[in-house]
Amino acid sequence: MVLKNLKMTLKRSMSGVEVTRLYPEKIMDLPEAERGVHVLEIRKCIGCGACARICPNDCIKLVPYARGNPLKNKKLQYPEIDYGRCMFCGLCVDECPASCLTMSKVFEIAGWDREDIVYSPEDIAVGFYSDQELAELAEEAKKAEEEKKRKAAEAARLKKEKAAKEAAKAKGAEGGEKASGEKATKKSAGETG
Amino acid sequence: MVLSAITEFAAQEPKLYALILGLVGAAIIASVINVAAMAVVWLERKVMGDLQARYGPNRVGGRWGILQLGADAIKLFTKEDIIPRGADKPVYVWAPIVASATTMLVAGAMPFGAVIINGREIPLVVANMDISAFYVEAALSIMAISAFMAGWSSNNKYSMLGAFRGIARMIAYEVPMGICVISVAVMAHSLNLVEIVQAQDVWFAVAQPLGFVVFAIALITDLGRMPFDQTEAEEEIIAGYNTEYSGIRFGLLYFQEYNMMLLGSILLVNLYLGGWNGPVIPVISFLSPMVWFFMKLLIVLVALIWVRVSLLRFRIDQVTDLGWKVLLPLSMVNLVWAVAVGLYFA
Amino acid sequence: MTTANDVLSALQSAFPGAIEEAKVAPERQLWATIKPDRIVDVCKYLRDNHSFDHYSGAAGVDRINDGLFEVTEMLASHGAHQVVALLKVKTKRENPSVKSLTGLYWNANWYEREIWEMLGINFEGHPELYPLLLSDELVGVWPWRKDYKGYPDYNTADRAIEKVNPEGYTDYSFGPTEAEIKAGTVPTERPEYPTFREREEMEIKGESEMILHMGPQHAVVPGPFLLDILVDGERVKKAFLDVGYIHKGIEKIMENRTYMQGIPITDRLCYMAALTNNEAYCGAVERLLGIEAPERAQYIRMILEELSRIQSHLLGTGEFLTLIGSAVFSPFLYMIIDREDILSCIESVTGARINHSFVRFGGVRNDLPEGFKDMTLDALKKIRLKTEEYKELFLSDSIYRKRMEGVGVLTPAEARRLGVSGPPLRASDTPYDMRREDPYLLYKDMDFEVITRKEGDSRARVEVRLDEIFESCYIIEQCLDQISDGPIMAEGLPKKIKPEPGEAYYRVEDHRGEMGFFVVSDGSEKPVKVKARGPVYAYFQALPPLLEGTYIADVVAIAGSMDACTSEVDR
Repeated sequence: MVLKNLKMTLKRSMSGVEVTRLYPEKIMDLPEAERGVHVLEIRKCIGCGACARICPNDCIKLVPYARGNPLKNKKLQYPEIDYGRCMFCGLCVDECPASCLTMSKVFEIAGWDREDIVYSPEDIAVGFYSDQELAELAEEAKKAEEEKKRKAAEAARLKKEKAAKEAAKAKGAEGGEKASGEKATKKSAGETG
Repeated sequence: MVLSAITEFAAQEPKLYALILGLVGAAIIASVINVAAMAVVWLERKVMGDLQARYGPNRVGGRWGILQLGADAIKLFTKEDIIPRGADKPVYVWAPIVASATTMLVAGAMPFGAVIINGREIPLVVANMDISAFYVEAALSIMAISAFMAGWSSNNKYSMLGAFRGIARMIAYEVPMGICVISVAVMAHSLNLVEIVQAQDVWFAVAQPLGFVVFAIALITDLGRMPFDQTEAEEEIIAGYNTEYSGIRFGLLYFQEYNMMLLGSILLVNLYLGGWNGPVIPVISFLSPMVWFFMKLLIVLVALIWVRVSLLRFRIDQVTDLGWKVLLPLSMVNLVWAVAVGLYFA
Repeated sequence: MTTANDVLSALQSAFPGAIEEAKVAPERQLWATIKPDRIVDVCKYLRDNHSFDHYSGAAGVDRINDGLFEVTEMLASHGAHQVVALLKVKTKRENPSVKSLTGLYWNANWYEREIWEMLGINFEGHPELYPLLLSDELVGVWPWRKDYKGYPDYNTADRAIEKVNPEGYTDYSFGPTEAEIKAGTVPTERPEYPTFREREEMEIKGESEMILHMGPQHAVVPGPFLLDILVDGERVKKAFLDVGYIHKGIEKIMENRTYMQGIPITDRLCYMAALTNNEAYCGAVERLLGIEAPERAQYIRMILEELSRIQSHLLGTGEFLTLIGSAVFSPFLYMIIDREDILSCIESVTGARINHSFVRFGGVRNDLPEGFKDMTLDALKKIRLKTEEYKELFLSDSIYRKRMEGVGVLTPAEARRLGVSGPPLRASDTPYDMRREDPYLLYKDMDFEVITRKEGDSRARVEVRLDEIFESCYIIEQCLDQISDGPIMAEGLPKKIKPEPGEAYYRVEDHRGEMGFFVVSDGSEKPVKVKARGPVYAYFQALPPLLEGTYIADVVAIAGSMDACTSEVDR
């Protein structure tokens, strides 16, 4: 009548297997695809803000962080994630064009205040730059900056010369020999002066 | 020297001596029985956990969670005392007290085992009455009155439904239970529980198998355990008659339920499973009947928990159907059987 | 077999002037705009002559730029043919009014009530136009209109007004401020109707009858909904149901998010069935974009949806067992233990146990990891063994049979009239399954049976679910055999998703029945309207007639055997 019920529970207790876990001592093993706390690769982030734009809950903000790569990330801005609002959907990971944001297996993020669970770029980053590397990068950035300035000045000068030559050609074609000669000498005097 | 003074006092003033002895025994029972109920709750939680492939309490008091019930009791003590507006105050306040009083009444007449001193078996019972089997069974049924008081006075529709169901169930199941007790008494030629145990050379579970089954089912019903716990069906009527109780009042009602489970199991063991009978164990002959008694008691308790975990709940009209249409005729048949077999072997 | 074109030509010949525009989009759907005064005649004609006897739902769209409201009625058939008719009716934005279809279809009731309270469209001829999802204070505000300015701010506690009511309890209420009335977010004139409590008390007729609340705050009701039953002793005379206690406003949220951001939000419609919700939404948007997922992605979607179906049926049956036994009834816990294996398989692919947000437009997010096939086949072997044990257990347990047989019987005609779908409909001898009626993904290549039972009582419903677990195992094994390598995302997907202006309706077989998503776009990057038509909405609508005349203990047996998920009703 109801004997099958009784037999089923008895069999389960005889098998001695406990399905629940004594939690803090034993943690389950999670698969690779698990979506936990984010991991940001500082060396690859370009500060585009695609993750902040796609987040459905507006939990990513771009904040300035000094220890970054000024060659890739001009404004030195990196994402700060508010885990009080994050729903671990993974859209930010899919959207990142530099593939620098991934999700790890960490899930224990409890804190005492709301501010404790807002993770700044330092809290979620890996691959930090050492001081020496930062100094080198700053040097390179300065050099690149100067190079750019020089190139810009060079290009501007070339452009001015070209414009002057063309104007001179036009004037020379218009006027007569003497007038053009005088004008030409005057002009060249005026230019060199 | 103290012993000789006591025996002198006993000889001179027998009535006063009996009264003092009774009071001392009652004090011991009253203080021990509630702790025993807590142990039964612990046992239930651990065994339920094992049957469901999980751990029971396992943090408070070490790996086995022994102090969990202590923590629960402390929590219940420190809660606020709330009496709902519109509740019938005197009845509301007295219902848990009636429940506790019932357990004390029952525990007073129930033998809890025996000890062997100088080759003589002395039963451990506070009041050795001649009609103790009958008295115990009648006192067990007062529990339904306290459930009804609690349900009616709470000014709550769920509690009222629980109270109605409790009364319907009790009326349907007291009759088969009483008839089974009488069948046992017929075979043992006495209504005294101690003598019933001593008359069991052959266990009555073997001599009256039908009576054993009927009494066991009726006992589970009377205790309000699954599959017969309609008075406190959580899914339909929240918590039945103890919906509006909280704090220590709820603690009293809750522990009395487990007290009754303990006492009902002891009654079953005494009536049908031979009480504390068993071969004398040589080394600890002082406590040897207690060892047998505890083993049988433990098996009955675990069986009750096992049934709770495995079976679904009946509907209330199916419960009363079962009581009137199935168990009552079967218990009558059992009575006839008991009389016939008793006469044959007399 | 009737096709959509046949139905269209029949309609055009029968009602020459009534159809304004019509088209037949993906093969089986007929879209037509009908003149407002002929809609009832057209639907009657379709119901009587072409056996369109299933009223699927209705959606209201606010076209504020054109000054119009549109109401789209969706009609289908229970097995006679596979055509879906989506008939649109337009009405002006000032004093909008549409004829009601409750005279023809019983279950149009709640759909029209919802459109009334959210958009303000009056339905002529509706018997009880009362609020369903909203509370009494918000009626008249018409929240889903595009020019709605937002809720009044009820957060300041010092605005609360205390009043002691006649029974001696203190009521707290909030009045509107002057600024809110001037801004138009709080209506000063509200429509008149009797409140829910008054409607209940009109029905009490005798001295011994009382109203018992298995209400929103109950110990073990699955999800917060208000169920009041009028009892006489232990017998139920009438039941009253009200939903809307966890209305999250998902449809309005999705109007303010881009298409891609809407995917995690559809997860939360019914968290047990997250993958099929995703699938329905992505399928509708894929139809708007005109793309199709590659073959490997379709196989992956099918595998995961069938795994999700198995775990949902295990949980649904287990939860139902706690309702007729107590929460310590062991087979419930054993079902949860078995479900863990399935969840591990799903988690290894998607990365989460419930809110997956896994399906994307044109494919899926992740590929199957190494060793997935072996892990899944192991888990399925165990599930098959265990489900066989559970079926034998229920067959031999006499207490179970006493509680379940003959309880809550739905005759086939009743079931179709009440509009239920899914396992309760299939337990009443109607083989209506979206995987056969409206084949999506690659189900037309799969070999599986549609499980039906004849009795229609609670026991049949539970048995249908347990048998469907076996069919799902079989489908997964076929998929794992046939799956081939390839891309998991369609080529040529634009970076910003801006579908062409249009409408799409996509139906899937959710774990609980027929789920449909109706998506309207106007060429921008946010949808104009997203309507989720859930299966549990119809169950709740059908529950009050089903509960009359039963015992109190049977109320939970019936409500539980329907496997309800309140989150989907309230959205």
